Amino acid sequence: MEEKNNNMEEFFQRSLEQFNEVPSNQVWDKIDERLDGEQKWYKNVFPWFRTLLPLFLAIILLGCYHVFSSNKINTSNKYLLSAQETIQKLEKENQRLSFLAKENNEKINTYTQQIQFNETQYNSLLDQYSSLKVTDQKSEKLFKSDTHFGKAAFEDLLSLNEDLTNELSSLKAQMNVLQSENRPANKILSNTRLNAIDKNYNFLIPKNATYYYPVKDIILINSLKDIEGNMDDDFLVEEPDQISNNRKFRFGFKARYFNTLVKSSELINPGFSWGLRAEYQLRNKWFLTSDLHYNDQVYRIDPGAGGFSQESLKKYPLGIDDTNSVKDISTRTKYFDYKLGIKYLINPAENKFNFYVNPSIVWQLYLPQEYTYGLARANDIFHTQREYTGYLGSGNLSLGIERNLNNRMLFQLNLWGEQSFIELGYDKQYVTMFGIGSSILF
Amino acid sequence: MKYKSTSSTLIKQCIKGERKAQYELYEMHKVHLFGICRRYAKTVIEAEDMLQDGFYNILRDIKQFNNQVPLNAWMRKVMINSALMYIRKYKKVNYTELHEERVEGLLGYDQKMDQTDRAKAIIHIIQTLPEVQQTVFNLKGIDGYSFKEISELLEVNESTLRSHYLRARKNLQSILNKELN
Repeated sequence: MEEKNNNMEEFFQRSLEQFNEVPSNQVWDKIDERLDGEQKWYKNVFPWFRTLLPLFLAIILLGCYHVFSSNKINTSNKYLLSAQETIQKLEKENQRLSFLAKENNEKINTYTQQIQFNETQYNSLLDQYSSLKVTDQKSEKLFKSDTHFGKAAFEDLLSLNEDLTNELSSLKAQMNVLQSENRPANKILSNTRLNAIDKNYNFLIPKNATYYYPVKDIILINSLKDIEGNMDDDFLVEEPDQISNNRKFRFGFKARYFNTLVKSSELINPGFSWGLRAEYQLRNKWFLTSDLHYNDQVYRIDPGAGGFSQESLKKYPLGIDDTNSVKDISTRTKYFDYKLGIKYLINPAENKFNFYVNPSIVWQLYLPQEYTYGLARANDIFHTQREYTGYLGSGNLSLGIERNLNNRMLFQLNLWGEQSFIELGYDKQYVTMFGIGSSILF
Repeated sequence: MKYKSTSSTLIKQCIKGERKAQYELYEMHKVHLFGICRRYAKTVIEAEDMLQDGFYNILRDIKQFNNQVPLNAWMRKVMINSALMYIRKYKKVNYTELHEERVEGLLGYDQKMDQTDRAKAIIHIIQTLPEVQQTVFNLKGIDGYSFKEISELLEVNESTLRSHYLRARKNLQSILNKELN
């Protein structure tokens, strides 16, 4: 029964082997359309994106830099405008105080003249009284009869004089107050200080604003400190927030271009990587560094002087008999690596290019490696070694420069080299890499 | 050199997305793949839709092809999976129901017809089966899947599948007897 049953299936299968009906051309046209749609979003864009990734990264970083710079310029301009408003207020107040001082001076002069006139009169009466008393005894009666009048007039003069003297003292005290207020206003408005502020303001805007920030800030803040405490609160300008460049911990992005060399490889085997970087300040010049990269590495091995890596051929995936037919082996390796190192700043200084040296040890996690065996007498063979392998046995040395772009961002550029001291990858190679890298830390 | 294949370069080019290579691959395999689609579909239009979906999936997933199995077998598997997806998506077939459905085949089958016509006639016979029986018979009888594998693919228990399969065979037998007599 089973055999009978199987006969039917076999009959169907055999009959179907002869099927030769062709689908309409529309089928491929539709597949073609779908592939076009897919390529727009993936196939075409991704390789370009991958190639231009460092450029995009640089543009983004420049954009960030521009935004931060603009903010800084805006803050500084706002600060300068505020300072100018303060100067205008001080000028008006100075004018008002000067006018009051002038008015009081005039009053003082008037009162002084009146006091002098009264004193003259008083002295004249006193002389008259003395002469009458001394020179003509006979006239004493007359004098005595006039004593009441003379005494009253004399006392009136004394009283008037006393009032005037009191008023004069009051005016002098008021004058002192006005002058004490007028002095700091004049101090702020002194030509030297105004010129210094104007000078900074004028060349700040058209030229490289960032470069002059520290100079301007110091002058403005110092000028404010002069008036602080002596003026009303209306005249005080708030200082902008001060952000320190000296951060203990920084974190950011990085990208690298590199060349890879293994035994008997071609000289040019370009690759790239990108990832994250973190730094922690241990002491003044010493930092702990940590980097995580995703790497895309390619190298081609040719027979050359040293021949192929025997390991590569021994583990030839298809069990090749005639290894002489292999003309080259291309390897593409995508892997993650993690670097832990120490950074030493050679000449630490604010707002300057600082040189540093950064040795590290490197861990690698290899994703499945892709091999293309170029054969002399046949088509190439593509093979993926589906293994994930971890390694610890490479050292990295970076020499670079860094500079604070502004209060928040630190830019680094370095030349680096990396050497594996153990065999890496499925083909067991001692890998040498060197390249250029850049990073931006926040 | 068991893995050495003339299409390895073609596959690499397809992985890179080179359209010419993709078209070449399509031309090489379209008849074979269309035959699979015709068996799983009811009409030519449906079969062409299945072929379109299936071959697109093949090109999309070809980077996963790893030489462990022959390319033909891998493409066949992808195409069958795509056909099943198509049926599930557009036909809403319920594999768990066991209705007795009568099949009336009118094929005009002629023992003297040539091999090509016979293949078309066989496909026609299969297409006359109810949807569920057609799929199960294709998977088990023609494509060689086990009931366990089919059970996992369609998410139906094996005993139900066996019932579908027996009914499919019975129906096919009946049609063949009628035609041959």
